[in-house]
Amino acid sequence: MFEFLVKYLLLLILATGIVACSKYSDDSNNKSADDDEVQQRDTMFDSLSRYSIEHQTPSNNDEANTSNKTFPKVVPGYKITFPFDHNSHPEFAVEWWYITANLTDKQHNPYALQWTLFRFASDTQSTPWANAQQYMGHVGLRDGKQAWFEERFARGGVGNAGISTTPFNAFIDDWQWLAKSSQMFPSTLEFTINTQIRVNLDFTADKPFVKHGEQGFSRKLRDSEQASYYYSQPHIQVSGEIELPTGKVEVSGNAWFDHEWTSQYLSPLAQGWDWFSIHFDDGAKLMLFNMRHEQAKDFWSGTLVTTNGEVVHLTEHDIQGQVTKRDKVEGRLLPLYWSIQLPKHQIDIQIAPMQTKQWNPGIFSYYEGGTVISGSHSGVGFIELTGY
Amino acid sequence: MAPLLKLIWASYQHNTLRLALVFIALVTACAGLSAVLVINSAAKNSYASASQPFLQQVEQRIIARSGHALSKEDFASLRRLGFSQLIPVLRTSQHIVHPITGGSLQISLLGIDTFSVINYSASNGLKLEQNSSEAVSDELGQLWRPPYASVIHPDFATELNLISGQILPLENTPLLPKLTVTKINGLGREIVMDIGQLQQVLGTDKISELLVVGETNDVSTSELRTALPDHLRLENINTGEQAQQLTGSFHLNLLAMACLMFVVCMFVVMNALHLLIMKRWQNLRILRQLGVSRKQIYWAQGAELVFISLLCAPLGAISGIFLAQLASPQVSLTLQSLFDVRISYTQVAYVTLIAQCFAACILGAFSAAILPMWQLNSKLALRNLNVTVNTSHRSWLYACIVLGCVALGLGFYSINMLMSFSAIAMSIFAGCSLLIYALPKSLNTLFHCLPEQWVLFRWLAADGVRLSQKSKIACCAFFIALTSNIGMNLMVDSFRQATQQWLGQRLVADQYISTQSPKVFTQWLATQDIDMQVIERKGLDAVLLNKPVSKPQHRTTLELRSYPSSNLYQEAMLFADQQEDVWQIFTSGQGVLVNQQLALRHGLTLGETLSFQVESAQPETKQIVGIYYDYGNQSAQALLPLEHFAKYNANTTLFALHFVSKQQQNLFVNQLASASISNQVRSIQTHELMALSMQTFERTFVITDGLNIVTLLVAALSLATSVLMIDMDNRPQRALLRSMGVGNYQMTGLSLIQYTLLSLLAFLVALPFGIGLTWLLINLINVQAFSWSYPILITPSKLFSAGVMSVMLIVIVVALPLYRLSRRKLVEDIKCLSF
Repeated sequence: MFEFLVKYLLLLILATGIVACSKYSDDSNNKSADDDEVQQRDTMFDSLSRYSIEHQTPSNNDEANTSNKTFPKVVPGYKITFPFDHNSHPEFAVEWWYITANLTDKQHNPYALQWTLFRFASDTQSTPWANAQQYMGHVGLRDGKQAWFEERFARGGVGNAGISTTPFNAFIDDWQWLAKSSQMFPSTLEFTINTQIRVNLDFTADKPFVKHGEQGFSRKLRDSEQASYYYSQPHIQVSGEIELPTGKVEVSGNAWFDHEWTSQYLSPLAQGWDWFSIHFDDGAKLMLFNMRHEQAKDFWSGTLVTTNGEVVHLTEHDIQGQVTKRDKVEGRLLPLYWSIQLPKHQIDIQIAPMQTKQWNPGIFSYYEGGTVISGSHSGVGFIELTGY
Repeated sequence: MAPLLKLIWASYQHNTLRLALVFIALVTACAGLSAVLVINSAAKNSYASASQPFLQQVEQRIIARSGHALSKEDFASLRRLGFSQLIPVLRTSQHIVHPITGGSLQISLLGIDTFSVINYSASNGLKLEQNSSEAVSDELGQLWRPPYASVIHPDFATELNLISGQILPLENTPLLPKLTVTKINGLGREIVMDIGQLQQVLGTDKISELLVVGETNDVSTSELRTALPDHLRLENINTGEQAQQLTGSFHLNLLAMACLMFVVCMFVVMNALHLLIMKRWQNLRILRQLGVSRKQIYWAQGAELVFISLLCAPLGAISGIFLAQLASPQVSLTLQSLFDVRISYTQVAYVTLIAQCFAACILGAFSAAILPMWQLNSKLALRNLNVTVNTSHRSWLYACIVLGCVALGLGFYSINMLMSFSAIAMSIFAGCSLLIYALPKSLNTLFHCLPEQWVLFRWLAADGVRLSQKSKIACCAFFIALTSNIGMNLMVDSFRQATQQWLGQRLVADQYISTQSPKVFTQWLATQDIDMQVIERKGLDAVLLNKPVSKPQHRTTLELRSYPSSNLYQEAMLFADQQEDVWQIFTSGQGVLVNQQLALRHGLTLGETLSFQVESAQPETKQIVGIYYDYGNQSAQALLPLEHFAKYNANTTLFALHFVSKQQQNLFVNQLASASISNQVRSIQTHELMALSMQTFERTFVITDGLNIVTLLVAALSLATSVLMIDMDNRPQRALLRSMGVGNYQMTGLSLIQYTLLSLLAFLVALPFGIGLTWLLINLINVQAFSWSYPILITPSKLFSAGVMSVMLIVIVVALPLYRLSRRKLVEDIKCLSF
């Protein structure tokens, strides 16, 4: 009898052991956690690009956000000076250093490249670890077929992100734009994208910076104080090397640099903006933006740099822009094809994307990529679409 | 079938106690089992995810070498070199003032750089592009944005009686950010906040470590290691398979204890089912006469068991979860202190757990029902069930010898834990066989030894033989519980004594100082007029070049530590094995002392050479002249004279201080407390260090002790149920004795003596088996699990007290049903004579 019992007890222990050792993690738990994270994603920061940073309100809906921090206003008449204003303006709420480049390799294959460093001042307190500044970096590369993108975040005061001026250096981690002196050019740009892409470019520029709007005071809405300080260097000559998963390619082309800072956040009714930069083949440069508003007519503004270097501020009366075609990208219907007319300047062009898939899929996601210009003038450029 | 089930249902009102016993035993069995399953599974999930708060897959970290500090400049430099997978963390343990009780509470605080986590999440999310599951959580935002929050897991908050919205003050008044109770992935037994907030509260700019997140491979690890400045080092965190291997024995131990408890509970179920079935035997016989088939009766009994299991499984699982919640703090602390692994809270899969409990219940209940059903079958078949009292149990003796030999063989040739546990199981079964053989034999001998005029005592011994046969299953259950109890107690006691002795011998200094700024301390010390001797202990990490016995591909890091060779320290060393001229060779620089862990893992013995390499220096070889005990250390360690460290940039690991008098020590303590460097050094007196070590020790075994007591209690319960069962067969004898004028209380007293005698005999048999179990646990299980052992220290007084306690427990538990019987009226007792 006892052997009989022992046999069954052993069987019982064995069976219990087997059952106990079986994994019983619930897949459903993970799934629901993922769903939660997706929902939470946008609540941490609102969707953000150079438009949406501006669109952020300093005190969000958080009731206990009791910051009394006041930022200086952007006012007409401020004289932007160089190299002083290449530096950071931490007293202002948001700021960005934005490089977009249209490049080609020796086989004339096109590449569109973006490098951006955003800075935003928050109502956080300074601690031994960090100050109240935060940085976000975006880099992207398109080769006509594929798109690569990476996003980085850092806090000010830690030492891994910021701006220094002697020499000029804008950096976040190992993404670095480093000049030889306090002047921005000549300089080099180095960054990697997800360890797949390595970019090493040299910049030179022999023409002056361009101040947009009223000597750098760029109004963002009609009859509104909402504005930023905004200047660009559209005449950057680029040469260098891009290491792709398929191998290294030597590239050259044109780049466009924007530096913009402000404290006046956009109205919550502003829906987003469509921004364009264009390098015409004849050497002229054009910047346009269209601010979309829920209750008002679209607000167009821009700057034309003519072939002889004349800088012309364009008002909404000078610009006629229409969407000619929309395409679906990442589930969003985006106006990728445009027709732009500047009748006073005999410019009638069509803007088409270099490739459809140019969505930047970061925590702050938006559409940014190369364009091809045709019509009365030809050339290449960049498009940014936010708020879609 | 339905009328049969109705009959069973109706019989319950006359069998409440028996039914309750089945329920209690099954629920207890399931509770114990599910508690261990929950604890083990939570730990396994935690290792597998290699989780840290907000992060998963953290398998490495960068820390400062001893005597150096990690700064945010180090972090920034590494990030600027492209190592964006680094997450700065500040860990500290602080006393907080409890907002409700006002009491002081020591708690772990963890400051994490939320932006680095956001950065990692963003980057990781993009790699998956289409799958945005890696997006950062909102909880992270509330840490770095005003109003700042600190987060705590709901289970930990419940344990500490904390709620959302509380602002916890530290003892020296700074306030932590407002508490938020939330179930964030990877949260463990700590309060987590932004690193900046924690630094602000503590008034420091220190960071403890840089966590390396994400997949690592040889190339990335090598790149990172190369990029590290001299004062930093990369080390592996015990996660994943490594943690599972380290803690495997602990979890197996828990599971084994739970299975033991389950099995003992099944003995109770068996007895209770026996009682239930016997009680309804008359009705079942009538049913058979009415034409109900035996098959139908079995089906009905089976359906009853399934139904009972369906009720007991969820109840047991829920109780188990509750027990696991109670025990998990202790388990986590134990695992963290023993194995340096991190346990975070994980979700319990209720449905799976209940299903597992149900499966175990069904298996257990049906196994336990085999014997009662077999007897029922015999009775229904109207077979003669006369019990023949047979005192010759030679077959059990043979079984004992065979099983004992198998146990010895398995133990001797054991190469893994499965074999060792099999050896333990075999030795226990051998003990059971011996007990079944020895009980009637001993009682029979006692019967013949007693003078004939002691009629009642002679009856007691003679009836004891019958009783031992009837209660042999319960006695075996008691024996198993008792053997485990003795074995575990002896093991823990040996370990406790060995640790105490080891600590007492090794900690010869009066005070120890650890600091990240040794130069600052020595400069300060030079200015003090205190009469004392300072011994600096140095440390280095090296790579072991000797091939390990197993896992040849694995690279072993070797801790090199300096050891003084003065007479005092020579006497302080506790060797497991040593050469005669150990100190002579050691001081000459030719010899090395290795810890037992290193020796056992790599099969190193005295006289062999130890090969190692310190960073890029030339490989070195030294002769092993001593193998020392190093309890609780998971690392391979070797000791060398202090002079050996001069050629390397070695770190000072600690200062050992020897004072000429207690007054000088007090003077030092006071002066250090008021010195400006007091926050840069950690000073601890030897007796405090010993107390702290022993506290950790006691914590380690509290769970095992708890399970042990429960098992013993259940075994006693099993014996108590067998009293009730035996009573049914005992009635004729009882009636006869009662009719002959033996009083009710006399009968009870005699029965109590019978059971005490049985349990004493069981204890005597359990004693050598318990000691054997201790030997197996220390020399097989411990060595295979941790690569170190310690001597068995048998304290007769402890063994005696364990025996007395167990027997007393049995007597108390058995006294309850006996007391019930003693209240039976004479007429009831002699009623059975009328049949």
